[in-house]
Amino acid sequence: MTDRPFTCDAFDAALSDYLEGTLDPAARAALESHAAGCDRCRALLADVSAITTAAAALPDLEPSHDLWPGIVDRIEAPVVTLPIAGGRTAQRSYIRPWYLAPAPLAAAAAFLVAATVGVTLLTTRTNPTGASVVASNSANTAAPSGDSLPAIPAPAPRIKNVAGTKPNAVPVQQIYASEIAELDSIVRDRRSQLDTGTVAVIEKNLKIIDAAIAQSRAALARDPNSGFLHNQLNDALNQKIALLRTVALLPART
Amino acid sequence: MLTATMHVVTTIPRDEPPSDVARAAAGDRQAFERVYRANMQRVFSICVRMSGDRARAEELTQDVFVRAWEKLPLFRGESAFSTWLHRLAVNVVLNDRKTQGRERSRDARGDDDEDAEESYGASAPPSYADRMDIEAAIALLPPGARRVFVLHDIEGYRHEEIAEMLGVTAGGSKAQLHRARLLLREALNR
Repeated sequence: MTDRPFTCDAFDAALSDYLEGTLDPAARAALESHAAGCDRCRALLADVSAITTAAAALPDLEPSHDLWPGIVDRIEAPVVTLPIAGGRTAQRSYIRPWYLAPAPLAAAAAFLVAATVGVTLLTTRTNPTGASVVASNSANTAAPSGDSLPAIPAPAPRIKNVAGTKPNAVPVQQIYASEIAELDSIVRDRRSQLDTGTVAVIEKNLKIIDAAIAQSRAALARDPNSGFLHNQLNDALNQKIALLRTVALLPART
Repeated sequence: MLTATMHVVTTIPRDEPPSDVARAAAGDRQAFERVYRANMQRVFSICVRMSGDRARAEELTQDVFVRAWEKLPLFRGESAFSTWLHRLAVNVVLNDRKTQGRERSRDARGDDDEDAEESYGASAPPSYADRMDIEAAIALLPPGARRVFVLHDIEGYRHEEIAEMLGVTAGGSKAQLHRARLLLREALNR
């Protein structure tokens, strides 16, 4: 490159690399030498250098109004519908907002568990003789017939308003574990009262759910900050609670 | 004030204290508001300059922070938070362009100069009575050239990074940058 005359065309072609600082020393010297003797190229170099310097120094801009209210409206949009029949949690918002955070999630879990325990407790304590019972938050759920069920501990205080609840100090997973353990105990006692085919189906479904729980926990161990994985785990735990509760309410075989 | 190119972006002490980012990631909206206040101007600036539309840029800035709120739990701290947020802003602007189908044909052509007429053609002189300032001149650049210029000369991304973001080649990015600089020179010297 330096062996040939450095033309204006060559200058144009090399200018970007020159400004990037990627030209080798010889080419750089040739370009500068050409610019020193060429008004057109010297002016071009000066102008483009000034533009790049000015661009890098541009100040930040200010919006015409405070944008935060619009943002907070969107991230605070109601996103949690309280648990409904069957223990299913509700629809999720299009955004992954506050409810996946530990404190609100604990509150939501506490609510779910409290409601679940309440249903089970209501069923088991008010229907020891097997009369039909309709669970308080579950439409037309058949109650066991003809069998008394073991009493379970009283439910935790019910949280009535998830969105307005203060952060719950009880870890979410602890709440789930406690409730599942209680329901497990009830279901264990009930198995002998159920049809063997039904028990087989239940066992199979529980294994699937337990596998999902284990996979979610393993993935979370590797990626503890993943909101998606937390959500997956809690969905699986909710499903397990729902299934156990359903089993607890199944009628005994005739 | 933005006083650095990309090579310094990751070292500029723009980040709020790490605790605010961590708290926001855990769902603390007050912490997130502080994160927003600390970074809003920077995000808005790139939205304005990339989109060339201040009103749309305000909407995009809101989109960026809503997305940031959603994605904060995924932020691993492998880069500076400001770098992460900045890249998120670029992606939101680029996705908005794709979603709205704006300038689709121009982008499909990538490095072509087809869009040069939009702002700098002989029939469309800038409507400024006095010498145009650089901010206004940037806004009038053809979209493809403007995006590359903003990303490279203002925000400091390298051509390889720009090529990846825009789906063009590094050579194409260089060509667009050169073209943008020459168009700016022309506009500023009028």
